[in-house]
Amino acid sequence: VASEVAIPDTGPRLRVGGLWRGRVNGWTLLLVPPLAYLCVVVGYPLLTVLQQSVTEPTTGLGNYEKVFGTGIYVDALIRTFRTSALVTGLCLVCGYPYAYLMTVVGPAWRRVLIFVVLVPLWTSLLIRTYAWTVLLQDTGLINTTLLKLGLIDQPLHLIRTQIGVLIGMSQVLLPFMVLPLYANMRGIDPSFMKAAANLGARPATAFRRVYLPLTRPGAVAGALIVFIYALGFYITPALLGGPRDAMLSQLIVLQVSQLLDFGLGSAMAGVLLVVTLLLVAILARFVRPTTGTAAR
Amino acid sequence: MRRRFVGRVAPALALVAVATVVVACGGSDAPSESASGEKSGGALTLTTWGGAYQIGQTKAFATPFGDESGAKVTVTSPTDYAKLKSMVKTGNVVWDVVDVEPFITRQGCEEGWLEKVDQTNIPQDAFLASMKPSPCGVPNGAYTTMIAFQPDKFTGAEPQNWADFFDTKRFPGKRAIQNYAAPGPLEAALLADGVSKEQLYPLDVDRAFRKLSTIRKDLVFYGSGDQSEQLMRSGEVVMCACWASRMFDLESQGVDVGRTWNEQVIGYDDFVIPKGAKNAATATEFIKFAVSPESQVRMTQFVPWGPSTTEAAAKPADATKEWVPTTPERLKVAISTDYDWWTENFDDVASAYQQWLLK
Repeated sequence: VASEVAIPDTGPRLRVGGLWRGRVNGWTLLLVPPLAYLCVVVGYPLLTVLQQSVTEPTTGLGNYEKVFGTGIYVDALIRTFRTSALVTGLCLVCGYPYAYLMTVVGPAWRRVLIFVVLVPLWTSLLIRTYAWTVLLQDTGLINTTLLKLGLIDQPLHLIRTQIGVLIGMSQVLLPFMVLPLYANMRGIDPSFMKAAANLGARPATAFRRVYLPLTRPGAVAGALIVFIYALGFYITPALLGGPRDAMLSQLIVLQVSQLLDFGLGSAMAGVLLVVTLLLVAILARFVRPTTGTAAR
Repeated sequence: MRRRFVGRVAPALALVAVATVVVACGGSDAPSESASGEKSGGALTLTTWGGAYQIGQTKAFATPFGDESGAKVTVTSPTDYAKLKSMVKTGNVVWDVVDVEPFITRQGCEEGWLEKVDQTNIPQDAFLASMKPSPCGVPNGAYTTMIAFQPDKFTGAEPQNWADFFDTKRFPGKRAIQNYAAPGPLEAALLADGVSKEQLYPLDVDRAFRKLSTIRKDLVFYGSGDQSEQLMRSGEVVMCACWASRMFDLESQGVDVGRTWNEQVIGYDDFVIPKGAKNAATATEFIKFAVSPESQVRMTQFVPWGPSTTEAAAKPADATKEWVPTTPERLKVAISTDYDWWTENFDDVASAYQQWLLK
């Protein structure tokens, strides 16, 4: 914390791990209030949680042994990452064409498309999840319609399954994929594609060699936001999934607010945090955000 | 390269950040309502579970108490045990009276994060046999886990007991049950498996899980009262191990609800005072007021919550009496949750229940 606050205005002499490579100017100081704020409202509680995980009920690593020694907790951890990865994939598949469409239509339609993405964001998460319940349940709109049309004899298992969780979470998180992608695509000069065509590339090739690499930063940003957001999901899997689809955050809530085992709950949170940070660090290394022609 | 990445991603992130802030601000905080009081008589914060229950407690206990004592009573929700314990731990106690389950009362009393409640002015023999006050808590009302069903789904015989609830051949269809261990699911399973009422406790936990597993694929687990109502309203389940107060709510929305009081599993809540509560004296007065016969009967004008005292339980208000679980004749066929056993075993059994759910 101290290093961020104690920025002298004497210029580039102070170097904290290469972070302040350039001259520190007045604008950099604007970062100080949000950073200080984050340290207080995120950093401090987080440290408290980590401390609790090794001090409650007794000092030691007992809580972590319990997390890794209990099959269902490890399963829940794996399931949490797998579900988040699947949701990220689904969001990318749905969000990419949507964001692209936003860049090619006229201004009026673009406004409609942005509106459609943003409106759900302004609706309570709980209400959206309940809406999915109404659609997906055995006696819900989808199943009753299919039954009436005679397409199925038995209701499809949509709710209380992994499918329900994936559908619900993807819809909730889609805006976080579409917005970065759109911001990215909007900045791509359409003449690049024309140039590729001029040079003899077929549309598919031009897309793959020119457009796709150019949109990678948006896709990476969107995927990271969606993935990290998804890891902490709680309400949607609780309402749309079955008991076997529980994510780690649900188990954390249970430990803390039902069983009052702050230590074990903190240890689970600690594991989730560390694994997430590791994964993001690895992803950031491998998925190098490259641009344009330097792609290969 | 990094700079270009940042340059492209930054505006996108900013857009998302704005959207998130908007969403976050749109979210509502825990509801709190002020329940009157102009006379200067101190202040009191009552924390309870929300919904119709909270409205009932506000109208039956908080508002009249404020009028009588002049205290400014604030009612907030929901009860959160983690918050309660943390408040005391960090010395920042903002709740004065909290509505909790009895095993929390006993745990908090033993671990020292609840105040002992002065009960010299509360007649101890006024309470129902199964709802005894303890040093840190006074029972303020009963709820029940009972068998409710869709009458039109069963034209012949209707489910009469837990054995019927577990009989998916005679009574086919999905049934809802809570995803929370105590009290209810395990008691129901053992009764269905032939254990007698008298020998129910100590619960044979393994046997209960074996019995529950036999109908696992027909069980739908609910995590809140709202969800249980929704499952019944939509016809998603034909039967439900549900709370009477929720079925009353469902019926008042015009849904036809079948029921049996037989083998209903009665539980109750205590009013407790967190250690170091700022208005502990007013809190003690409030608790005394809330368990008086008049207050207990008044509660049944709004929600079918069973009075915890014998006098009040015998004369529930007309508005809800069809759904009040603690009337003398309904108590005869009821099972009382043994909170001594649950206090001893809650942590282990609640964990085991969660693990069973995840398996």
